[in-house]
Amino acid sequence: MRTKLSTLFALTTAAALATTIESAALVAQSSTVIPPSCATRDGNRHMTVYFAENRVRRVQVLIDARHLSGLSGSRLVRMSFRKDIKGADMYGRIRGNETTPMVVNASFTDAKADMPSAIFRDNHGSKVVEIFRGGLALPRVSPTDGRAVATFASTEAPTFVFKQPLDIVAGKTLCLDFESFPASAGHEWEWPIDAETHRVAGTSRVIGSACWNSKSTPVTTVMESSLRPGMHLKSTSRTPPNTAAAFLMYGLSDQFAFGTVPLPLTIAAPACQLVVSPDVFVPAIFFHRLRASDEGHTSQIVPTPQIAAMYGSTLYLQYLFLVSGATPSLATGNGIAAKFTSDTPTLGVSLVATTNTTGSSGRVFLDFAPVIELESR
Amino acid sequence: MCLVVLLCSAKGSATQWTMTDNDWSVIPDPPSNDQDITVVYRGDDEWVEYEIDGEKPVRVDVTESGRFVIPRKALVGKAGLSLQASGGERGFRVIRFR
Repeated sequence: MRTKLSTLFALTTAAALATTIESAALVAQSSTVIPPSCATRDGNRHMTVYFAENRVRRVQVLIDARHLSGLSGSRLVRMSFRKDIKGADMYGRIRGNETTPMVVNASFTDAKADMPSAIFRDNHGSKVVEIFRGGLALPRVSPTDGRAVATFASTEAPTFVFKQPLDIVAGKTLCLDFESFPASAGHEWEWPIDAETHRVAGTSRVIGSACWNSKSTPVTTVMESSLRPGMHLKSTSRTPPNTAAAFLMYGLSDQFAFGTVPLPLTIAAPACQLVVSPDVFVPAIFFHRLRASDEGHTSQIVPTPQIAAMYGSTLYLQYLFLVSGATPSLATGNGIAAKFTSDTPTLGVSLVATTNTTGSSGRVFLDFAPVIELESR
Repeated sequence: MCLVVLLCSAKGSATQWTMTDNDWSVIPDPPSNDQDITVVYRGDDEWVEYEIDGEKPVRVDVTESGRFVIPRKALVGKAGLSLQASGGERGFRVIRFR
């Protein structure tokens, strides 16, 4: 009888202990969605940079510490991206055999999510952990989806199970560093993920006009959402027929060139005017369309520093062209007064991305986040 | 003082790209002017343009979807089109119909 009682006691104790341990584990496990505003709604953008046929990318995601404060566990063990609902038709080419070889490194760092460096190394902390290496299989999902938002279930979400847990360091920024390597499934495909951005834009004003008869005006424009200190200023322009060389002039004034010469200044006939101070003069790659005698295309992307003086400041720019013909001549596009935003980042997540995985730096995308679920234990 | 960074310019050679890392792809590939063309843009511009030979450029918002369709009726009899965004070589593609 005593033996039976003691056996029963032991079994009961063991069962209770197991339940306690299991409960503790369940309590300690928690997850959070980044950015939190996308927990119950589809993000306002999508990203195709991670998963696509034969794609090479390096993308760093910097996540502010405040977004991790709700996690009860002490170590990150798993993360998932989410299907994009608004662009669901893009999954129509997915067959279910698509895989992306990836390496993911992570660290907790003093770098700021609102002010990342374009240099990848500078965004990492001292202890970098490889949390994933291998082929990430992309789930086959429906190209029609009437839901408001997708889930993070592994049946429809690309999921990374960490090969080793990552200790959470309170108060520090999480740097997730994704490298994607090319692989072919034998057909063209892409698997977009849900993303969110806080769009902040500067403003632009056209100065003068191009000195050739263009199909479209203004010939030169800037992407106003690129007018954020710390990102890259993007401009595009039509080029005149028979362009032989293209240059972009950046200046600090549209009133005086070099501080002394009044603008506008006619530099070629007919009415080709310099309307900005050519303080910085850079070559621009340009392209012909079907024929050299058509108008062509040029563009320029230039990084801008994230310094206080840049916020709300105005930079002037104008393209200058050398045109071939019986007599070579100059032509000018319209000028642009590009005013940078005064608003600083607010999302608490930013990206640094490049298509050159051997390069040391990338382009900075402030207030831009893939929608991620992080799980801790 | 004018700061001349480089005194050279480069003409691109983006016609009929075969590299995979251009921001543009089209379906079908190679395209023809007797059917609709689905255009896929993978860059980060908010809007892009396409320009059919002899026509004015058309601006397309690509913030929600990087895909858009150019209908066959706009292409019939045309020699080609160009797809343009920022980003230098990777943002530009010329398509010639054979």
